[in-house]
Amino acid sequence: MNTLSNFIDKLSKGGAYLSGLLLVGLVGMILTEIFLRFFFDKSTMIADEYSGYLYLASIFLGLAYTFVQGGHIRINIVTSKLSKGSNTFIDIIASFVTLAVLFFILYRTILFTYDSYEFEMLSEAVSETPLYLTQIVMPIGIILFILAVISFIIKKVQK
Amino acid sequence: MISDPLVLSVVIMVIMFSLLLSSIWIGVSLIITGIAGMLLFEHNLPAAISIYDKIGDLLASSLYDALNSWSLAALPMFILMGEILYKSSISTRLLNGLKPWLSHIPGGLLHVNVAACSLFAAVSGSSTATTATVGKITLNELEKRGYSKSIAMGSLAGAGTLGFLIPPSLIMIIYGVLADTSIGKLFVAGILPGLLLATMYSIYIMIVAKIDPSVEPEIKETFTWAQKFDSLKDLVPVFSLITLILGSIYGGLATPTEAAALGVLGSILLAIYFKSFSWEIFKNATLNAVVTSTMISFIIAGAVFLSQVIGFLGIARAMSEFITGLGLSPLMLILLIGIMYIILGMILEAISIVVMTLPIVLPIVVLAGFDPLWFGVFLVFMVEMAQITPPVGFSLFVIQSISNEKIEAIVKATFPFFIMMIMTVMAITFFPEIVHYLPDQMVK
Repeated sequence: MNTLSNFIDKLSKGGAYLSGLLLVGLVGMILTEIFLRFFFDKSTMIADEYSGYLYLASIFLGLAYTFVQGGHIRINIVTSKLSKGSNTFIDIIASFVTLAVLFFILYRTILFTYDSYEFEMLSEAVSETPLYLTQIVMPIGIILFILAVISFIIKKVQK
Repeated sequence: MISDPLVLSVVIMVIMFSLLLSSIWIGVSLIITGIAGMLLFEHNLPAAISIYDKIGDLLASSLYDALNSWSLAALPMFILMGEILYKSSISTRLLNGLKPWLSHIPGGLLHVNVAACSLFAAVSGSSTATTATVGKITLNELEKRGYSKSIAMGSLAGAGTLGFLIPPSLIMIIYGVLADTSIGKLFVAGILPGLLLATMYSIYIMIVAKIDPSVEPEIKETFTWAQKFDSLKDLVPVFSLITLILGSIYGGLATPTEAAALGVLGSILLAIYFKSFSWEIFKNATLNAVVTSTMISFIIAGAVFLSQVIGFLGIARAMSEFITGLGLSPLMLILLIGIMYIILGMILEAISIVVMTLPIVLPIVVLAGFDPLWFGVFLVFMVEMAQITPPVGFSLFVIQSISNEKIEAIVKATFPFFIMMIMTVMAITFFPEIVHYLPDQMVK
């Protein structure tokens, strides 16, 4: 079980590196746009549109790592008054509730992406990017997130 | 099944707070609340459409549309910039640079928190980051030199919240996107109220130092003009970065998103100049930025879904009509809203408060005749107070971890600064020109 948990944590970290790379890419793309406009009065034509895609992808790929790092915030003014045992119990219940929601999101984002693919939907900007390519990061990120929650439950149960 | 939107709104609020208080992650709580609201409402759907399909469509498209946003893309970049600066030696440089200029005035170096936070707030979008970056150096240094620890902690908590008010500001980016208000104008509108608040803090420190000289050491360091001149080499890079970010927005040369990218580049150059940049630092800063921006964005995505549900069910309209029907005067209304935010601020953190309340509160205040730009600044003040009100106040937690003091002592030290925030809020309520003056002068 520990190896599974470690593997999942590594996977989350991989997602985070990719997420960070996309963030740096976002900065680079916008800087390119600014310099092209400033010095050559030209535009990349895609910077506005793609900054949204890069941001979206960066967030979804970062979900799992943020969870592993304890980065997603929660309110514990009530639960912090309870015993350690009850807190483990609450953590496990909260994780299962989260899993249920995530599986629903996973199912729906797959449908959402598949619909765009099947109907060959393109973006309305000059790039005419196939939309499914920009949406597929959602189910991928959610799968990583689901694995991270499972790993969290494993660790809590073992304690 | 509930058909009355007002009854449903009460039920939804009960569900939301129950989930939040049972320590389910905030983003997840918001999504569950939205799903529950859809399931509880008495729909008149044709038999062919299942309610789960309707919910699923709304959920997937809300998550996509919420984050596929060019304006919100400024958020992770401003966070990255803050992370790079946090790991640089900027806080030491600010302290060294400001020291010669503040030493001789009443209160002496107690002003360093106010001055350093105001400057750092102009290159950082977050109050927590401002408090942490400035506080990690100043608290220790002030105590070592014999200044009152209580005023040092209070002024750090108070001035740290300027991070949200003085642009760039993460809260204003989120507000601008959700309220469809110009982020550039919001940024500019925050400058004067921010400076007004900082000035009040400084005047307060001077008055306290005059009444009770024991808050500062008897013998203060003196600095020669040569030393003052020398201090500029620590301050000029910071001022250049501020000019780059704010100047490009104010002058209409760059959008806030572009200013954010320039800011990342500027912060890297500044860190290199301060000799505190390495590949390792950059990697860690990027990973930290990923965590913070993912955390915030997930809450935003959940809130966008919830607000879609609230709009779909007609709750926002029903609430606005209900409040309007009460016949409150605009001032009474804004007072009630203010009190509500202070109470919410005790249990929730700043960004959650904004994204959760806005779908309902904004239509109400706009209907009552308030300008969305003004309300944005008002809201920033409200969530700044949330940062320093116990039991949940992120700035308090930051100061606690730096100072190792009891939270009660920090809260007590912060209280006078909290009162000054309320006074500043009153000032902008009675004189909205403080908010409007600079945006009205802006280059179109």
